[in-house]
Amino acid sequence: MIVYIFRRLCGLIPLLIGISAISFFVIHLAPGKPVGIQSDLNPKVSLEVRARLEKLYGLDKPVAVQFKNWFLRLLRFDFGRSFLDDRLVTEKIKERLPITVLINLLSLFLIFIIGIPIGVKSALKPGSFFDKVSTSLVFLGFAMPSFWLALLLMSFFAVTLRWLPVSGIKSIDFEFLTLPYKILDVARHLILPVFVSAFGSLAGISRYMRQGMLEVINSDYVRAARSRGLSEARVIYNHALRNALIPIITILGLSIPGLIGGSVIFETIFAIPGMGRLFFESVMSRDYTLIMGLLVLGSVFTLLGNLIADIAYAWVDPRIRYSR
Amino acid sequence: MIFKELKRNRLFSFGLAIVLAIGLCAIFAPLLTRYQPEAIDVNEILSSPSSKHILGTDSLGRDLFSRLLFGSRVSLKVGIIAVGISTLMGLILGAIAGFYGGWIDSLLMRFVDLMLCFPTYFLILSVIAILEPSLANIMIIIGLTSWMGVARIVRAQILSLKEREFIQAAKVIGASDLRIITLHLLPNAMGPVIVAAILGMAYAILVESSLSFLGLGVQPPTPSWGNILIDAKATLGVAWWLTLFPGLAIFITILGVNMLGEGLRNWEKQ
Repeated sequence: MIVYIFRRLCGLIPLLIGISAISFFVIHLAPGKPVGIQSDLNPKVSLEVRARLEKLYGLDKPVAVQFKNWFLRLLRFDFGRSFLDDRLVTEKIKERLPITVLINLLSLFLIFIIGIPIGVKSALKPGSFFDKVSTSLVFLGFAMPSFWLALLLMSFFAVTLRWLPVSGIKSIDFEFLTLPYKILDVARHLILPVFVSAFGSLAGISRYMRQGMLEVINSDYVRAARSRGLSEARVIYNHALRNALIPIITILGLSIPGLIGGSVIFETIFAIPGMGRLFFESVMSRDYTLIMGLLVLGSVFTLLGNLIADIAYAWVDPRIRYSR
Repeated sequence: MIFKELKRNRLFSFGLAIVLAIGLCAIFAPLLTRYQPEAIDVNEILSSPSSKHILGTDSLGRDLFSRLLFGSRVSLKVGIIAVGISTLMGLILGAIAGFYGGWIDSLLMRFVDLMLCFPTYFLILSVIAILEPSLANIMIIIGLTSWMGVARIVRAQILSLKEREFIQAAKVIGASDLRIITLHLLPNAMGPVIVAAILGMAYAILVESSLSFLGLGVQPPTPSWGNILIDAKATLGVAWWLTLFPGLAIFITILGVNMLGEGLRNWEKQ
């Protein structure tokens, strides 16, 4: 197992170099090359911004030196200071991170407890009424733009019915509430965002689960378990489901970039002060250092998520650990 | 013959009908409405659907129906061009990786892994922040960040095809690599690629509308389904038609494109 983890960690090195290369390329798209008619005519390029970028990333040095410096900075998680308020980029990200992680974990949990039972139930009786309804719903779910879903839920539950708050994560009187009510208050604010963020992956997971379950049910070991006279419930839950769950780990890992990326959309709509909204704000204000920091960190989180998924996969399925 | 097939593959037929209908709306948009999509009418601000404005008007008194019609042009344009770029890139890189194998293959496939590391929207938004949020830029950026699936499919297809006898035969005759790839391998690999391209169109349309909704896509006054919804958010609870119809347009279009793609996949599998 340790060998496997070590091998996986080594495999991350080229990807990290690649991430830094692509983000380096993105910086170099920045307008205002040192001498260019284009930059003189483009009013959006202020000389000051250019000068700061130049100083920060050493844009006057040879490309190879620049790249080496950029890569070394990334290793130290040194992204410089925000253009907007001169605070450290890492600090700004750190204070926005917990709420995004919380929402994403909650929505992963929701995807798990809703998507998997739906998939299993429709796989047990393919072609049944439940299967047909859930397959159609999955199809509709795939076509649902999450930001529209957010708007619809917001207008219905928050504006029309007034059951839930419209946006933000705290009420105005938050400071005066006692602890249990504080938790309740945040929970009420998080219901819609978590649901919207889970919704996108829900359809996919239940579909994969259905497919995986169908494959497993027709496999030899399930037939063997049945022929030994085990009860149907035991065959399904102890033999089939456990094996069908294994590939889902990878799917969950693969849904991480979508979840992090999706947080840009729903955090912006629901005005949640998380990483996604920070990214949106940095793009709006063209805060280049913050954009670069979030771009790199976002992809590193994705890498870590995939790594954890792979390790979990190897942990439950020894065939992976020992192959190759 | 064709009609019999269409009747059997209902998913495909419904999808095709939806996509054709939206395509026709986009092409004949100016003939289908009396109003200019950008014409402001201060006397008709936020009027609800009526015989005069069948889907109502927005906060500047512009006719929503006209804006949706013209918005379909943006969506379809983005869908087609972005997918064109991503499919072309996927075909080229996937074919090279599959055909030559070895270190070229591993290098290109690591590049695919790398591109998949970036959270959705992060790379796109970073580039948009640095360039300009214009329609052309958006189409190019979506295309350049969504070719990985096609590349993987093409590679897998070519790997399974290249050991077949007709390829060996072509090699023996002395056909060039380019000729083998473009004339013998790719035509036989196109089925799944077309399915992926159509499903990719749905993705591109969704991304464009999301970006426009964030204000980082197609810029007003040019109508796009996404940027019409900006107005919906500002008038939430006041003008339900502004929230309902543009979203429905996106939803139905993506549904139609997905049905078309899935229907084709069912066909392809047979």
